[in-house]
Amino acid sequence: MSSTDNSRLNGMATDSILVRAPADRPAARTWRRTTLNVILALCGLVLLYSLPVLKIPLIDTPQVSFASVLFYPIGIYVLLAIGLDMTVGRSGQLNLGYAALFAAGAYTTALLSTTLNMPYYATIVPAIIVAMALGLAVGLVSLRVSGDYFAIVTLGIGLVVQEVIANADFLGKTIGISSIPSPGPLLGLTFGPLNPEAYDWLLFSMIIVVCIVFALLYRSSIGRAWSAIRDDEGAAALMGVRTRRLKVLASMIGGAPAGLAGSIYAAQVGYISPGTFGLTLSILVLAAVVLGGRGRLAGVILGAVIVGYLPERFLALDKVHTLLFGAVIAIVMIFRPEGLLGAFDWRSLLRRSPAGSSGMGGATPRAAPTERSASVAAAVSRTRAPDDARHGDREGRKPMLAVDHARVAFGGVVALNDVSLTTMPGTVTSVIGPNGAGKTTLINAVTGVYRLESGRVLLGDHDVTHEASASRSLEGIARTFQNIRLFGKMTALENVMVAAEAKRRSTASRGREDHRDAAEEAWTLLREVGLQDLAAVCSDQLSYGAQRRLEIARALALDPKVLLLDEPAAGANTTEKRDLTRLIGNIAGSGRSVLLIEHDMRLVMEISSKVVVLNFGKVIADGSPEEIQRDPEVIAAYLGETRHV
Amino acid sequence: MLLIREFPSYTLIGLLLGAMYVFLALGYTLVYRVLKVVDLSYSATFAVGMFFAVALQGWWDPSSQGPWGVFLFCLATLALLGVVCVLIRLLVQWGVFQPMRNRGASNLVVVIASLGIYYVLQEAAGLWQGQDLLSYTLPFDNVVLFSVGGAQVKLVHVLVIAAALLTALAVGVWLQMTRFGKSVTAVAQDPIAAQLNGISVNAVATIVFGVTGVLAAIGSTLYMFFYTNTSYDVGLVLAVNGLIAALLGGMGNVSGAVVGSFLFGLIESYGAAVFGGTWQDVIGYIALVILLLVAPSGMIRERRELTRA
Repeated sequence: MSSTDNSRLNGMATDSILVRAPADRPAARTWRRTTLNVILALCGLVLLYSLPVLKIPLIDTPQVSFASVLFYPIGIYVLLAIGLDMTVGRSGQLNLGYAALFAAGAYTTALLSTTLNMPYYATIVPAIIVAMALGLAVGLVSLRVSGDYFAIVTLGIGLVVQEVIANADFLGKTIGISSIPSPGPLLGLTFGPLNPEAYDWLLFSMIIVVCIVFALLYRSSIGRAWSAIRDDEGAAALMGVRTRRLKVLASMIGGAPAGLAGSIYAAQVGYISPGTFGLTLSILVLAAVVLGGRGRLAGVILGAVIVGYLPERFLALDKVHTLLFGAVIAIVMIFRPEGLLGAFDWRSLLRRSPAGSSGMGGATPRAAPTERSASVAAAVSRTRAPDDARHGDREGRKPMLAVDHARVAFGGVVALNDVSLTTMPGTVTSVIGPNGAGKTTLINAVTGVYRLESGRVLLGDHDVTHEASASRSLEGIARTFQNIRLFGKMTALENVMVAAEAKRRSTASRGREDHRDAAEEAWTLLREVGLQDLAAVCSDQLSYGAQRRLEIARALALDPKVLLLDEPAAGANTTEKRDLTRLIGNIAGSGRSVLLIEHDMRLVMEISSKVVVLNFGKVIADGSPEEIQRDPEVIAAYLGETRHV
Repeated sequence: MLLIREFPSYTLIGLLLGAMYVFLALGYTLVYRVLKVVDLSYSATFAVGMFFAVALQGWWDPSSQGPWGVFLFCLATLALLGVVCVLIRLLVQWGVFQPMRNRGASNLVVVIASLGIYYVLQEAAGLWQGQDLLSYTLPFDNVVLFSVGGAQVKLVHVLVIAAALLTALAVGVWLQMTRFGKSVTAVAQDPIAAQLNGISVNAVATIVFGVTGVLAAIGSTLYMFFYTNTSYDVGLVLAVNGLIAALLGGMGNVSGAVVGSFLFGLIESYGAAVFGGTWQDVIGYIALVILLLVAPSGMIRERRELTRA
């Protein structure tokens, strides 16, 4: 099994060069670590490139030498698995027709080099482009059909492509295309049947380039947005991520490795026929992705190596090899559902302490509650207030958010019936009411999760009634969720960065501000809510209270004009509630408008300048906290005879 | 034109294909209804069942035993396949699906695990009877019963179509009319709420898996009667066609699965008549892709059925 280890080692080493050292580390240590990584990477490279010529008896398969299965299936599977993981692992869509993209690349190279006599190297780019075009088409399909249905449509697409090839004259029908010329000499290497290792080296180089490009992509803001979509597509859209566009982009870019793999495969074997590009290949590559650990480059590579190598190795066992292969897949899935490398964060081994605040003056000691509140106050007031607030009428004549006769119904149930309310800049407006009164529905209607049957939602003077969630969030409506919806597999910092980067992408100065700015802004916001020490922790590992505060920080990263908080104090203790009260006060104090849904009457009455009471989807009262507490209808419907306050 | 000239024949072929798909589509749809997962291992059960049908013929030759002997032989085939297929399905449920559900594994992971089981079953069948085409001798004469406009309707044809319709009816009645059917609907709508109301999701799933075993037994018996040959890897084609049929009608929906099966069979048959035999598969897949693009959740939505129930 040492072949597996080699490849994994190499994958890890390639990755770890790209791990950016936190800035607060002593320079010497950083340097030492970088050197170590470079040495590891070089060793891995040397090992990898000597694999085709080494004669390692243990890993040789019974029928043929290990070197002969290195190109196909192992190397090709690796490239395909990396590409498929872009859709399956990163943006969470099950594609069962990926072999079609591989076929597109192979047939492009085969056609161009046989009919047009183009040299091999000139056919690589067209092969990639054709595969990406097909990936784009699949991505567009995903906008229409989702989940299991998308999986079956891609299965259909895969079968159609294969059948079209088998029936089209210019593609050689079932006989295929033969005598595809070998690539010309490159860097002193000649390609041909006599020196198969040249192909291995070329393929390895391609894999390394693809790995580096993909690793950089995954570390970029687009990569974070993909992760957010994978973790919670709905929440991602509400944080300003253009989910549709990014999913199509993932599908398209994910086609590139398939095109590349197809082109070199065609050149190496010299003969291609539709049988190679069937459902079995699609499924095997998918199995590789899931087996190794989707969403993780090293895992996907390991999975591909296993899926490529294991059946060949089991050939010694003659007829049972496929059976054993199936059993291995089932057993791994039962006992390691996240894949072999899925749940194992090897980066945590390298990073022993949680990362300090980069460029913010080192790690901050855990602040006492009062200190934290003070720093919150200072930090929130430092953040920019929205323009409208400065220009707006502080007397409250010009509302920031206006809901105008909104009606939402689900079948026969009217969840919101003719609801109108306004929020003023720099103030807190609270919505209270019994469970099922329509409070969360109101937030969902304002953020575009639900469509209004009638009525309007206005942000300032701008009618956003017909805009998508992502657009509304980017224009200044941000929210938190009653049932926490963080991006669970991402760190606290990354959660905030997703929103900050979405906002940055949308503003006019796009592209000018780099990732570091978004990171710094995210750091500031984490400090505001007192989470700076937990920035590097996966958000699903955070405590309940910390998750609620992280949601607020994430929403603030959109620099909203209106912030909708859905029961932020749920489950909080007295100290936390006091902190929260201050935080909300500061957010409003910076000129934003806050719409608060909360059951804690003390908090509501203390902080709000206006309270709206909903019952059965209708506004039954609307006024200052004092008026509301005296209103007989409100007392009957919600507050009860014995005052809570 | 071929299709118009021999319309009854192509219709008959389409209906027969559709009837075979009913047993597949029902199995996929039932498991999906309860667990919201596509069970890829299902069609491999058919291959194992067919191999047992062939094996039984090696152990018992009813040709000299008169009509009662043949009848008993057919019953024995069904019974043997019933035991084998139900056993396999229960083992798959207890060994794979139930532990994975208890661990909260995501759907994708369960699908891949079921793919592993698919290979295990298929290859086990191949080890036992070899990987070559296996032929089967129909135990009775396949007499022509009647003919409609040039289409000769034979005994097996009537058997296949009648069995498919009766099975579908039985499953439908079982789900609609019985207490157990209600708990299946409850689990389909909200497994957690069902659990809180005293319905064990695992128990419901186990019974449903058992029923899919019965479906596989009937389906593979009829397959052998109809095609009279099989091979160990027949499951792949069956899986693709059965899944498409289930999806055409709307996954998780019993009446949809039946309608989808016959529709898919007819599309394939008519497509082959119009475009030529080699295009038969493509027509079906293209129809599927187009239909799902137009109606992204199949022809009959599960939700509509649920609100009615």
